[in-house]
Amino acid sequence: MTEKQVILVAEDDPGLNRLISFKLQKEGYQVISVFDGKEALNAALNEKISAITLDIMMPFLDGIQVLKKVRAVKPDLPVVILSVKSRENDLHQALELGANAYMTKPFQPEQLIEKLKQIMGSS
Amino acid sequence: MIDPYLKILLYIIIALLVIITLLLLVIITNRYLVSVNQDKFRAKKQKWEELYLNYLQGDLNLKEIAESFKDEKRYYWLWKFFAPYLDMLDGSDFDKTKALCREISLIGHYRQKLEHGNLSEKATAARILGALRCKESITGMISLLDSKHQLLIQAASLGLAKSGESKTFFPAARALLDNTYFTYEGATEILAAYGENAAPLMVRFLEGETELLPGEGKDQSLKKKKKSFDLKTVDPSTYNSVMIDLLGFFRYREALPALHGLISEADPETTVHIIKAFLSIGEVPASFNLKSYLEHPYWVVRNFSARVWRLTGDREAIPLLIKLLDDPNWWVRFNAAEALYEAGENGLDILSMKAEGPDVKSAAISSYVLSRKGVELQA
Amino acid sequence: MSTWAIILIFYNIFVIFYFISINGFYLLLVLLSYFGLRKQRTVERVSDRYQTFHSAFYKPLTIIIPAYNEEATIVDTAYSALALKYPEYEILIVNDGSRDDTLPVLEKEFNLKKYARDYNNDIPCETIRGIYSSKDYPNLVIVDKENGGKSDALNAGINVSQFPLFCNIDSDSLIDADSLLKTIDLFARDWRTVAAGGTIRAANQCRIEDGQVTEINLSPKFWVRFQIVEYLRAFLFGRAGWSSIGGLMILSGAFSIYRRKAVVQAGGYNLNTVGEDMELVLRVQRVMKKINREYRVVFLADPVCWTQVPENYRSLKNQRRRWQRGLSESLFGNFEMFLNPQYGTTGMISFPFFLFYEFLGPVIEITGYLVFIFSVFVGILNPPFVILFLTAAILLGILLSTSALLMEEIYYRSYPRARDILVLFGYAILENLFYRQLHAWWRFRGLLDFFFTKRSWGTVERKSFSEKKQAVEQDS
Repeated sequence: MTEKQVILVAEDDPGLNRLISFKLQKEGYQVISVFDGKEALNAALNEKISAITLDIMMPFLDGIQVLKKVRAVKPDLPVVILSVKSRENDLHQALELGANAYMTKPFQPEQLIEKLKQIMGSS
Repeated sequence: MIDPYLKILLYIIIALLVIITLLLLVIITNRYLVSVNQDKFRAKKQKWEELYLNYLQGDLNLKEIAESFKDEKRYYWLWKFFAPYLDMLDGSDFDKTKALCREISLIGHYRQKLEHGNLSEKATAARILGALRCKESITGMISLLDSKHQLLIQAASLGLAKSGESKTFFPAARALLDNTYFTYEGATEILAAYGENAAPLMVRFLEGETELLPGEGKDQSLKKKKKSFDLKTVDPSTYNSVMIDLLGFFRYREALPALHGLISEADPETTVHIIKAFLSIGEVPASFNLKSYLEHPYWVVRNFSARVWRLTGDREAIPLLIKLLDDPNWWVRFNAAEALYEAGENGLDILSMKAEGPDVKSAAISSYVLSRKGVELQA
Repeated sequence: MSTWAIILIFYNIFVIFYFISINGFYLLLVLLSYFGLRKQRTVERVSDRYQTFHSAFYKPLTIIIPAYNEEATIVDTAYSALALKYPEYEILIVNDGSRDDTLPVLEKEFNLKKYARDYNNDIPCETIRGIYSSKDYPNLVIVDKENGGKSDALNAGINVSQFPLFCNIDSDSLIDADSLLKTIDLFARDWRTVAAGGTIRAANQCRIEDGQVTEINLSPKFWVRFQIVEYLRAFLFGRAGWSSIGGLMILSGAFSIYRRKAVVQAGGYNLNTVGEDMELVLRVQRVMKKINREYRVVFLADPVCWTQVPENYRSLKNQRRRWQRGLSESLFGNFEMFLNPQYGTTGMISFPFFLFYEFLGPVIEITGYLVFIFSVFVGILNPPFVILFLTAAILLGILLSTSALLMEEIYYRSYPRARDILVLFGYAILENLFYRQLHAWWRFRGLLDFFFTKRSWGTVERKSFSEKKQAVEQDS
């Protein structure tokens, strides 16, 4: 019996968060939606999740901080960073900290899902 | 004699009481209305979201979903709903959203406002049509670039940038840089929205096709004395600097030859921009003579040249880096030391040696950088 | 008629004239700010906030937080600064020779190590003992120096700061995460901007989590409520109005952003005044004029800085006395601007306004009340007139406060509960019945301090920089 894989969607814009979550659900995944860095960290550490899509600019804790702390405990958890193009430094920092992939906004949700599948498949 | 004054005072008192009561009523009514509207909007958003997501998924077609949105006459609400999606999505989801906005007359409404609205309405319309990447509004937005009002120029430039029409890049740049009080940073930030598609045009300009930039504005009185953020006088190569920064931002490799061509004759500030662009692009032109810039009289150039060293790995420049460990400016020393650290075994040896050497400055910076790196290694 | 009677009559007329003109001005400011705020809102709508938030092009910023004996709160302050959303910035906490464990507490919490960084000596200041950076938060820097007072600490911070813009934040203030970006936007959108500030609001009894205000509550405290109404007036139509005509003379020390070069050229903060923020704003304008450079000092209502305001009578009284003294020192230290057409609106309108209505205001108000009452006793004014006049005066005051509440309601609606606004309205009424008069008395005492108290170097040094603590420490 295969359990549905759980994906954590960390994105502070509610509309976008809902959109990503909706599409993931249609693909057959279970989704946990969080809207700020604190919630993201909490869920990442305490829930059983298969992958994270992580926005960088979030209230309370930004995505980089969350990634750092998650990697310390779960070094193999697949993470896709989703953020705005301007913050290339952040994106590179994220990759150095162990994010598996990144996408810049504006983005195509289908590509995000593809990337997630890729990194989950190879983990 | 006093009586008339008493009368006047009485009238004033009554008037004040009336006005205060009115204001209070306005406050209370406003609070109530806003609260009602907010609830309404929230409910609509929920309903729309459900439909919209299904539409994107393909479970609803355009005609079907348009029906549910068509009765909404508050176009600003519709914009507020679609705004995050328009700003953050791309590809087929964006196209579908735009098609929906067209079908429910959102585009039509704001095109009207762009032509006939007041200042505030035009500016908002430009912003919205830009987010919708609306090519039909381009002419309308271009005409706003001639406006006397900074707000309209700002909104129009951003709108044009988002619509992706690269040929409007230069008119927008001209309007922003010459006819508004925008700093060059602020202007660059707006122009960045043009995206990489505008990069080839920028390269052509830097290579000498300066006629791409439209001539001086017809109305000279619009020209605001421009000064850069740093209290310097107008930099005639401001346009160059803006484009260099943008090419770096877009990480446009194809710009490297043009940038290299410029750097030999560039003034110190422009040189800094070019070297920063190399850093952003992550590559330097093959024939770039880093050594001469490591010895440049302007410390900012030396600073960024030290940072750029790791892109070249030029071993011949190492003696110069060592010399920079003694530079009068702390940041230059710091980045030279960091560069040496990246030079591998050799670099580490040099730093260790310098850390215990007689030169105070080199010793301080070498041991500082070593301790930073050393601590990281242990952790 | 005796000479005294004539003098009394003239003084009464003068007071009435004063009253009509000041309120006329305020009503004008209300109108100006209504349109000014509307324009700001349009600009807000047109800006691509999402793009701006993530801009790669903005000038980096140094946040300077002076601290003296803040061991209890400094860690929270640091975290709140670290929570800010800005592309590139550094936080400089300047430990002004604290006698308590401010530095050790920071060392422990943030894993500090000594940092061999050079700094400029652009502005003279007390010796800097050491500069530390945090291993965990690379953009957090602590400057440890010999005690020299708040202005001196700020000047040291300016010396150490490497970025073209700096932001001065009080150690007990909290800034909204996106407030910084909105304020800096002013610098990017207009090269003439040399200084900018936002709105200050009372954080008392608001819920604060991780250095951010997460729930806005109307404080139940009596004295705080008066201040809330005052601040709404001062910012939503005072500063907004002045800023819209280019005559802004004050930025709050709790939250203000400056161009570093401009401040260095002006010589940094003045060590000899308690109103160092206002004094600096005035002096920067003078220097810009001298070097013949266009400049603007701007207020933006949207960005908010939350601060703890005095909660009891004594602290509030001390604070207001100090502010009046600071105002006086700033005005007289920059008197060259008075009616000087070179300084445009600031010199020709704002400065005289502040001199006549804010500086002299307490004197005229207090003597005005006394003379009115005396005139009634000696029969020069008849009681009905005085009663009606005072009633009109009170109602006008209430009108002004209600206008501010209206502005708050239209543009911001910070207080979520409708009854909060009604409560504030009640306080707007109460304010005019006794608080105003009390306030005038405090300001009057502040004026006396300005004229008669010798300022000793010692008292300035030993004060804490937190407004709250300062007010308590000052002798009454």
